Amino acid sequence: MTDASLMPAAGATALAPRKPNRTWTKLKKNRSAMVGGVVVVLFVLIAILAPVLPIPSPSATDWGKIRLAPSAEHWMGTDEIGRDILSRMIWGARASLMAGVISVMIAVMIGVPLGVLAGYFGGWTDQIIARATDALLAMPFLILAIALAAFLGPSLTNAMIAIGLSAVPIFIRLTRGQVLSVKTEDYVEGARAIGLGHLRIMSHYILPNVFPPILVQATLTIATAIIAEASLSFLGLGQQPPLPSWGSMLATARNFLSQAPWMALWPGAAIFMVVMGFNLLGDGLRDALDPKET
Amino acid sequence: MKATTLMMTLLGTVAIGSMAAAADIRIGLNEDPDSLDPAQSRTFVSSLVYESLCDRLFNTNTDMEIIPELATEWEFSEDGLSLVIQLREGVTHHDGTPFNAESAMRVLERNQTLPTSNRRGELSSIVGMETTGEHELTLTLGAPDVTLIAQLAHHAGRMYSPDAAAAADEAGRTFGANPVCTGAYKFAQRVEGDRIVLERFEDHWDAENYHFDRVIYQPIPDTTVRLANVRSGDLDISERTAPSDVPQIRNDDRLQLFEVPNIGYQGITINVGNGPRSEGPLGSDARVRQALSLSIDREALNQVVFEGQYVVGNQWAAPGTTWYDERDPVPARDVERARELLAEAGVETPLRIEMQTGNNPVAMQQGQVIQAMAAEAGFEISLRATEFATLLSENAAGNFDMSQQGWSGRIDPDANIHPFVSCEGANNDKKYCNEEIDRILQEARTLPDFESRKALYDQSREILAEDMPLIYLYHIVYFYTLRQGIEGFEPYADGIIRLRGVTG
Repeated sequence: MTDASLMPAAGATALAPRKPNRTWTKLKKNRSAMVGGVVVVLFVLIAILAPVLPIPSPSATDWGKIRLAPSAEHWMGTDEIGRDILSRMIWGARASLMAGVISVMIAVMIGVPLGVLAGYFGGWTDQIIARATDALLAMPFLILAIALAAFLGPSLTNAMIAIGLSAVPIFIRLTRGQVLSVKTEDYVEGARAIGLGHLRIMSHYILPNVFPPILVQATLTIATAIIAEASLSFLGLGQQPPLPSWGSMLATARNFLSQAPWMALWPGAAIFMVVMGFNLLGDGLRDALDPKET
Repeated sequence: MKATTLMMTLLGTVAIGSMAAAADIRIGLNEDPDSLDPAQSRTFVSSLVYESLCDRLFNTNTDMEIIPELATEWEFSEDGLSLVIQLREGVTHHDGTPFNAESAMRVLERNQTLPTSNRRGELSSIVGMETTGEHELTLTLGAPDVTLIAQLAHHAGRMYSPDAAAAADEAGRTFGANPVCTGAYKFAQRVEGDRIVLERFEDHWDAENYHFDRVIYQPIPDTTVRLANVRSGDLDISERTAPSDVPQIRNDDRLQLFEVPNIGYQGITINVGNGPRSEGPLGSDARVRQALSLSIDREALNQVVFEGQYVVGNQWAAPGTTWYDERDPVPARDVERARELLAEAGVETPLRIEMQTGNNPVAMQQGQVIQAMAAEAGFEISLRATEFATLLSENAAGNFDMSQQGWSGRIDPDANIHPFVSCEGANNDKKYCNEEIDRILQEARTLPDFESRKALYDQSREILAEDMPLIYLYHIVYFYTLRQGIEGFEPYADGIIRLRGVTG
């Protein structure tokens, strides 16, 4: 019964001409993923274009314009020392997105190779890597990031490194699990049978097949990393003044919640939007990349 | 019958329980105090705790005039080389040992001799002590010292149990971790960074004027959070309310606001001689420091960060006060001149320097304003926000270029200048040393009349304005927020909260 129902499906997949953009077609149909994608692209564009946009410097102060409400001149108002909030928001987007993307790149570049090694070789290699990962996973992500950032010293670069290192175990564990299931596949066995080296099997046969879930995880982790950067900056461990970051803007705005609520509104809303964008996009990617779903 | 007794007991318990809760007073502090050993303390905030914990020989009234506390009478000899102090009778330490001339003498001796004491400079004029009666202490001075009474009205005159201190010192324990003093409240518990709890001392000589069972000090560096705690009733008094919150508090029926101009100053301390970090252009060339001072618009700083509520300044004394030198008014900002000075000094701009600052929002905001102002003259200042006690220890270790910090002020001018700029000054972490300054300040200590003393301080001011190891910026106004219902509170210019007569 089970075999009978599976057979035609498997046969159909094998026979049908493969559409090159199957994932993209599925993603396009997913409305929330597209909304997420548009939000992300929008923020990325803003961040990239920050230097050429006709906005004042994010550090330019005007002592005569302290905590002004939004107006035609300052669309988002001014902050506690008379800086244009719109400009700071735009430059802050750069810090946030860079922190999100670069820290996840760090995590992927360290975590994925270690995960592949652990999953592929097994044995004591796996024991060492997996146990170390378990130990790191026992510590909450943000606590680990704060501890590392405090240890490295406050700066945006160090915050990125701290967040990246804290996210490494997530990728090790994910990759290892994927590799464990992929390495028993026939094509891997085949590759081994024809005498290919470990390195080639790992890079050409295993890595491409474990990549989709890693991409999904990376997208979702960017969202977490952006929140982590905002948290570190909020605590003074991220971007250093006078350079703006949404987190540090929020930290300052908290002191003027009743006098100048807009100061907190913009960075709060931006963090919410961009994190939601990455989450929707990540969810959509997961659905689109999942071979089991039609 | 039994039921009635039970009911009565229960009701009684509830009544006592609620009374006990109502009889606590909670005070929000801007920082966690450093050591609670009067010989070692060097923070203003510790004075707030001491005021309930350790009585002092002399106190001050609201006009900042000396009044008796544990000393009831005092008299200098005609040559000014001997001081006879009559001490209050019937005073006991928290450990039950009596307070008398001998115990007071041992305290002063410990303050003078303890290797980690920060009181040595303050008491350096005392060369001999003897008990000339059960409650009479005679101090012999090496030279006339008009500042001495004022010193004994501060940390140096806080009286603690010499037995308890000696026991702690001998056992290698920290006396400040469990201080045994003479105040209306005794030490009960301290959780670093969280709270200091004091309990009523029934045998205090003035116990009837203190109305709370417990005093709980809670360091909450964030001014907004501290204010929110008063609003919610979790704190009864909050010291050093942020000026930006003042207009709102005035309109809030649930809160009371008190204010008093402070006698201290706020500014930037520059490392001019403490270790390798003093060897850069900022520490080694006075022109660079003058340029930094000129790049700062003090009036704008006051408007932007403090809503114009504070008083701008350029000397340790505030403009308009007795010791201010009118010949040197607050300078206007002059970026051009600042750039010229940097060029004369041959400094390559932007000159990168780090400024240590407190980790509270107001200090950070102030740091960013200074950062922005100085940038225009050619300074690239990075800010390092540190917790207050760390800031002080980093200063002491020479691990700083410059630090944003101030001084809460003392009633005698000597204590506002001598510890900071004399070569061996207790608070001279920048290690500024100029023999001429030392000589002038030493001489000023010996002159009882105002005119000649003022002339010497003016003279020192001229040298310091040239060397500029300290950049004076402004003088704060202390704002206190109290919840409605607390009565009998009076603000003092030294910022210290006196609980005598306070009810609620």
